[in-house]
Amino acid sequence: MATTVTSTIKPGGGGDYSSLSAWEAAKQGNLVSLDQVQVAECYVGSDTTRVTIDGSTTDATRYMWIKPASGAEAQVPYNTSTAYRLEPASGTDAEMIISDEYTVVERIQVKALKDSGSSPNDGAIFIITLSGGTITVKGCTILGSFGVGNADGSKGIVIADSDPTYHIRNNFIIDYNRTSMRAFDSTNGSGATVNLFNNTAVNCVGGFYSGGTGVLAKNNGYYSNGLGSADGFNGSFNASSDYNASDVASDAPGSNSKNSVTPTFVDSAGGNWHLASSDTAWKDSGTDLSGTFTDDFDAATRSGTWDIGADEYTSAGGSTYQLTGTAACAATVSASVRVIRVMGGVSAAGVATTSASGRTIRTLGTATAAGRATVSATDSVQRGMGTTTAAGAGTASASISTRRALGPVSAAGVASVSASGGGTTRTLTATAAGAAVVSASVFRIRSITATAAGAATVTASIAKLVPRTATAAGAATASASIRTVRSCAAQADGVATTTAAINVVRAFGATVTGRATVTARVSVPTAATAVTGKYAREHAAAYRMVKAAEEASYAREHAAALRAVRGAGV
Amino acid sequence: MARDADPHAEPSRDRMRYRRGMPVVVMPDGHPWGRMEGPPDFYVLRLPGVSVAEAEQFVAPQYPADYYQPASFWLKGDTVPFTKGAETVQIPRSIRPYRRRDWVLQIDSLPPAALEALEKRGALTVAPDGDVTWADLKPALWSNRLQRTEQRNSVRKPLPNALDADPVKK
Repeated sequence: MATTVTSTIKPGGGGDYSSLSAWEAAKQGNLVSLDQVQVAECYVGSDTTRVTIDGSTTDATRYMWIKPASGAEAQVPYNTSTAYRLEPASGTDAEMIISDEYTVVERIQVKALKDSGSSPNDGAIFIITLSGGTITVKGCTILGSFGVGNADGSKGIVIADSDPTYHIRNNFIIDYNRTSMRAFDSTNGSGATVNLFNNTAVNCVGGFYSGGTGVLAKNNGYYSNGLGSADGFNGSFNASSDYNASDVASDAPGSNSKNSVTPTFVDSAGGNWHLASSDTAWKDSGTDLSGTFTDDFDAATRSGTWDIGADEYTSAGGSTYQLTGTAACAATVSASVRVIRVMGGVSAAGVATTSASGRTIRTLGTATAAGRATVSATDSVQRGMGTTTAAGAGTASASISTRRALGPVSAAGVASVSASGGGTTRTLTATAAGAAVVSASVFRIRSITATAAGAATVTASIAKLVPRTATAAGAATASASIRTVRSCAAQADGVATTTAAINVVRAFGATVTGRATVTARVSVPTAATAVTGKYAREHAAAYRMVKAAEEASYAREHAAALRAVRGAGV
Repeated sequence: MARDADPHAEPSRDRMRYRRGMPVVVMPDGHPWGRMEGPPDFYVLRLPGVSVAEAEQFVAPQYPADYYQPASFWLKGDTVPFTKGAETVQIPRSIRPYRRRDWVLQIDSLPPAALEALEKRGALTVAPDGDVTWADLKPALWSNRLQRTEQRNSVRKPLPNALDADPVKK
C-alpha cells in the first residue's frame, strides 16, 4: 500500500507551498520506488503560476494527485473568493500541462486568461503523455477569458497524445467563445481511450472534438448560447457514443442523443450553469454510468435517470430525502434545498420568515422562528447543521460551506446571529439573547461557541481553530480573529472590549471584567493559558508582559509574541 | 530549485525533471512563501526592482529546436506535426517542452559570498547593495537553448538598470 503524502497549497501563504508549480517541483521523483502518492491539497486563493506535471515515475497506485481542500472546491459560477483558482496572468502557454501518467486532477477551477501577445498554446489543461497510463480530470471548472483575437483557437481541455486512457468527466467548460475555440479537443483520439462523460460546455463556439474514434462521449451537454459557427460535437466519435445533447441541429452523436434542444439553467446571465428545476432538455436524458462513477460536479450522488452534463439536478429535498417545513400565522417558510439526505424541521410562528437554501447537505438540523424573526441557512456541501433558532425580533442566519456541522444558532429578543463560514468546520454554536449581535466567520474549525447576552456584540473570525469560546454579557464587545488556534477563550462582562487577533496559537485565553479593553495580538506562540496571567511553558518575557497586563497571556517560545503584544499596547 | 529531482528512465521524460539551479516560480515582492519553499528543495532569489514579467523570462521551458522558430510555432491553425518514435502525428500547436527550463543558475559557480548567503539563509538578494550584483550573477546563469551564459547573451533584452548598475560607480 503506497504512502499518501499530502502537501498543502495555499496561494495566500501559510501552507507547505504557495503554488502548485512549487509543489510539483519539490515532489517530482520516482514515486514508484518511493511507494508514494503525492497529493496537493489546494486551498482557497489565486494561484498565478502555470504548472507542468512531468518528470516523475508513476504507476497506477503511485501518482500525482491534485485536489481541493474542503471548502475550496470548484464552483459554478466561477468563484473568486471561496475556491482554489489556477489563474496565471495572460500568456501563451497552457495553464496546466499534464505529462505524468496516472495524474488525477479534480475539482479545481482553472481560468485561461488570454488578452494580449501572440497566439496562445492550446488548452487550459493540456495533456500530453508518452507512455500510456491513465489520466483523470474531473469536476473542474474551466473558464475562458479572452480579450482579443490573438486568443482564437484556444481550448479548454486538450488531449494531444494517443496512448493512455483518459477519464474526463463532470467538468464545466465555459466561455470559449471566440473563433475556432473548443471546450474539449482530442486531436489524436484514434489510439486513445477517452471516456468523455457528463461534461458541460456552455457559451462555447465549439464543444467536443474527436480527432479519431477513441473518444467515447456519453451524457455530455453542449449549449452554444447563440454563438455563431457553433458546433457542439465535431469529428469521429466512438460508435458507442450516445445520450449527448446539443442546441445545434444534427450534432450530438448517438441515437438517443438530443439535438436542437435548449437547456434551462439556474442563472445563465449570472454564470450559474446548474440545471434549473424547469429544464426539460437535459434532465433525465442521460444514461446510467454508475459502473464508472456515481457523483456529479458538486460531488453529489447521481440518482434516478441521469441528467446530461456535469450537474445532476435534484429537486428540493430529493426524492429519497426528508424535508419538513411548517409555518403558522403570518409566516413565510421557504426551503430551497438540494441534495440533502435529511433536513429536520423548519418551522415559523408569528411574523416570521424561515428559509433554508442548502446544497449537498447530509443533515440540516432544525430551523425555528418565532415572533418577528428571520432564519436563514445557506449551505453548500455540508454534512450536518445543528439547530438554527430565532425567537422574538431576531435574525439568525448561517451561511455555510463545506463543513461537517454547524451547531445550534439561536437568537432571542432583538438579536442578529450570523455565521458565515467555509471549510471543514466540525462544530459551531452561536447564541444571542437580548440586544445582541453574534457573528462568526469561520473557516476550518472543530468547535466554536459564541454567546452574547444583553447589549453585546460578539464577533469571531476564525481560521483553523480547534475549540474556542467567545462570550459577551452586558454592554460588551468581544471579537476574536484567530488563525490556527487549538484553544482560545475570550469573555467580556460589563462595558468591555476584548479583541484577540491570534496567529498559530495552541492555547490562549483572555477574560475581561469591568471597563476594560484588552487586545492581544499574538504570533506563533504555542501554548498559553490566560485568565489570571498564568502560563504554560517557556517564554519568560512573554510571561512577564502578560502578567503585567493581568488579562492576557500565553506561552512558549516565540519572542515575536512578546513584541506583538507590546506593539498592541497591552 | 536547490536540488536535482530523481532521474527518470525515459530520456525525454528525464529532460523534464528539475535540475539543481533551475528557477521554478516567480512571485512579486512580499509574496508569502510556503513553509517548504526553502532549503533543501528551494532557494529564494530576490530581485528588487525587477517586475514579475521581466523575471518570468527565466522560468520559460526550453522547446525543441525544430519548433522554436516563431514562424512555425505560433502559426494559426489547429495542429502541427510532432514526431514520436517512427511516427509523426498531428498535435495541437502547443509543443511539449524539450527541457523543464531553458535557464539554469549554476549555483556552484556563484561568487563565494553568494554561496555563503544561500547556505546561511537559503536566499540571495541580487542588487547593487545586495548579496550579489547582477553582473556577478550573469556568468553563472546558463541558457540551454543559447548554450551560453547570460553574461554573453546579446539576444535578450537586459534587465533594468537597477540590476545592471555597477555598484562601484554609484
